[in-house]
Amino acid sequence: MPDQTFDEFVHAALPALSRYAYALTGERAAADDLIQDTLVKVAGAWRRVHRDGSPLAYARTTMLNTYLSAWRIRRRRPVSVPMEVDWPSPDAYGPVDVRDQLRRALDALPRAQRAVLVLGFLDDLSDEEIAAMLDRRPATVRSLRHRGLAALRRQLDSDQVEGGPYARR
Amino acid sequence: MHDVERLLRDELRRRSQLPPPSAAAVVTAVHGLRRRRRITGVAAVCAVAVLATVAGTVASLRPTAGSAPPAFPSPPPVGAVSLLAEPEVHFADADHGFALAQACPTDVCQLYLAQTVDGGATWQPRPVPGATFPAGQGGSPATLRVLGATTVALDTFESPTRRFTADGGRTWTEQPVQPRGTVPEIPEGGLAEVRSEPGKPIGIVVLLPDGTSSTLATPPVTRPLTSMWSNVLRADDGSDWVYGGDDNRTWLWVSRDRGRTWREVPLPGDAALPGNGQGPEIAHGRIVYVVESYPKRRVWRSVDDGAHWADLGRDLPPDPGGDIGLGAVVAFDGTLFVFGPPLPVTVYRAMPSEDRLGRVGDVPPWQRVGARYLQGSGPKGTEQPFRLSADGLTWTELRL
Repeated sequence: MPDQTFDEFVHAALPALSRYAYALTGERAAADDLIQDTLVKVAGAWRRVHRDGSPLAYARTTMLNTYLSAWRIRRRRPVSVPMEVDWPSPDAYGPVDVRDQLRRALDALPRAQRAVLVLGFLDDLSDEEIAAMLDRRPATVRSLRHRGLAALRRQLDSDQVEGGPYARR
Repeated sequence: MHDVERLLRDELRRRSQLPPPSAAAVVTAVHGLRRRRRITGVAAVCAVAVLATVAGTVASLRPTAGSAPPAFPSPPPVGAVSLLAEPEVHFADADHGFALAQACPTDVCQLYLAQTVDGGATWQPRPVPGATFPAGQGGSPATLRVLGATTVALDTFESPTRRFTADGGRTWTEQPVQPRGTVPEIPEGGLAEVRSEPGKPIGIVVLLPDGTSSTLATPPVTRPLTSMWSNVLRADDGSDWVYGGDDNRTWLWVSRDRGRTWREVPLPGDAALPGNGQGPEIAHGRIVYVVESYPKRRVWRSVDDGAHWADLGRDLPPDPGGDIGLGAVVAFDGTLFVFGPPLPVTVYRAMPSEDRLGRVGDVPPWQRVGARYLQGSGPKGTEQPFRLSADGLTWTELRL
């Protein structure tokens, strides 16, 4: 029989872990993979984690490290990309366009920048808390957030000024 | 100017409100993944075997005109003791070996430990008290860890204790899996395995000859994150090897003083990139082979702890897509065998005195199980009956 305590933990923690995984990856299939990879690692250390009394915090840190780890690239999972960059045309649905541009810009950020933004803007964690989770210095976290936001702002402003990539064709 | 921070907050909130996947499905997937990853610890040969199994299954199930329905092997007689479908076998020396076996009189199977003291000619299976598992369960119900001629430890995922025998399976005790205290070195008769800890350098847990565990005081000082070998490989000369990697590169460490100090072995070519290469093959603690399947097929050999590397794989057929991995096994005399799928599996060989791999034929791949070789039947090398060999030339059926 599988470890019932671990299974119960999965049932209880899944909503929280899913929330992080989707925010980090922005893609359902990738998020599901990230959740599974994370839980496999947690299962491997379950006795120790359970004894230490903070399995959710451990799982969350594990998920961040897994997400940031270049080892996931070894699977060489093909990434779905459109045949052409199908940016939406400018129309009356401006907010939808902006959201779409933001989503694309966010997905194009380096993983470390995206992780810092997710932790900061999804859970309002402080720089010190984020630094502790990512095993970086607070100054590094501030720098990553600054660069991430600047990249997003640059992308959105560029699209706004030029009418978006669709208009440039 | 956009209010990027507000937009970002909205976007993340939207993402986080997606419904989570089914918890039951995730639990099932996680347990399945753990089983699969445990199995793939025997990485190289298993990769060949899995590819071959899939190809063979597809071929056997594909209907052909006038063909009879595919024949499946009949189940073993009720109560008969048989090897596990994916055999766990290990020889401590040329004579003494162990294999996990099962008897499934109902939908619940009893786990057995089979022992041989004559190099695999005869076997004595003994039930492991209290070790049962559901019939049809994929993978092994326990991890076989042979510490000596009569000493075995069995770890299972669901139990906080390990089963331990010092008399070949006649009597068993239970020991805690959790390591206690630290030890300065990996002792003779002990085994070690890597424990990856997110965000921290790896740790090494030593399984001591009495079945208890302790943490090694001085593991190699790595950056996070993971190890690709779960076991610390002890070579014939007593050196210990750890292979893995961090975000930036792949590394290989060696200790020649039983784990007290460690030295990094530089890896060649693309094998040093993060996530590249596969577990090195070590012969006599002095010859190191590294097999690369992607982005190029290359096989490297070093005899000076990585100071110099020679490419032996110049004649391997290219695989531009990098989709078909190469399996490898190193023989007792230091000869490297490389298995190249798809079917039939082609075997290439380089003896220690040779500077390139040469094709030696199409035969089922085999693997090393301690002091013996193990080979399945059929072109895939994964089917019953399994055979044992001391030299890779003559084979004896493994019959319990």
